[in-house]
Amino acid sequence: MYARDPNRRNLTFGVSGMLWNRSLVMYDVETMSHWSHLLGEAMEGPLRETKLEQIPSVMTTWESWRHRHPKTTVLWLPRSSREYRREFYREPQRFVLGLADVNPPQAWHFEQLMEEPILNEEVDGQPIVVAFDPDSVTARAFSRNVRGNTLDFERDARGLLDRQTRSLWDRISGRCVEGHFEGEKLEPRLAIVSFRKTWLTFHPETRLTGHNEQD
Amino acid sequence: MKLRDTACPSASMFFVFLFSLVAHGQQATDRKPPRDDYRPRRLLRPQPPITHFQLKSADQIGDTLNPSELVVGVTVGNESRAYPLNMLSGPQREIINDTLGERSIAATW
Repeated sequence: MYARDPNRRNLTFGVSGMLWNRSLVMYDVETMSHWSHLLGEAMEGPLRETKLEQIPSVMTTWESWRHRHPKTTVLWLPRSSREYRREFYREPQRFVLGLADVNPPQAWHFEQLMEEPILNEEVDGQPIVVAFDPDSVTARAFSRNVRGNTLDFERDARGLLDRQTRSLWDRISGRCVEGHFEGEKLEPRLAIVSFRKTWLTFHPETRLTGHNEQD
Repeated sequence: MKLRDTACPSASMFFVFLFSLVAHGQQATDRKPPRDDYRPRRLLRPQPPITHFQLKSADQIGDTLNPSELVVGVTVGNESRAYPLNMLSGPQREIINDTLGERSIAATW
């Protein structure tokens, strides 16, 4: 998910019909530059090396999204596929949650997240919590900094519990629903769900957390 | 899986082919940072951008979306929108030029 207004100029994107490293190449109508879909960066053309700002998004089930955002609108087009349901993650070892805006990039195996759904991490000097909801197969990363405090989280049947104040946080929206921080939101990090191998092709220097190396 | 050299005869065949590449065919053989090696391959002619589409409210959706269907959800400002993956897949569909919370966004995943 990207903002399409680099340098305050609105661009209109289309599918170029080209693939690079098994990933989509986009073009913009205004300059006909080529953009890597996964990197969000122009690889060729007048805007070469320009980057698109990534916008936090979450891949989750309709049920889970609707529950948290009752006023949501929904893109409505004729279906072009039927296969993207929760069952899409039948082989969790093929997926990672990847974070590219740290050095080196970091990724977490879905398999590991299934075993340890809450990870308090320190990545590139930044405190991050990775939270996984097995019901909707939703993985997210949030900053652990809240109003000048660095929080540590533990699992609770209802979500995330911070050890410092025992506040309860929703693990998908990051919103504090009960306790000292009620009404606050954890700042989402720009983590995306990706095929492990695709992620590693674009971010080969990634530090990969988790143990399973088979496909 | 290697990229085939022959063009696929139809768009639907192409989609099957593309999906097989993306979903099953990954082979992370090249561990060098990829930026210096931009060599795309054309498999399809450029697709016109999508700028017009329908939006529905959660109430209008009713049960036309299965609860277990995957969506990409985004919130900008006070506005939230869900993009069902089943409406955002295939070579004609992978990028939606949208506006949310007064921000121009490219919805894609």
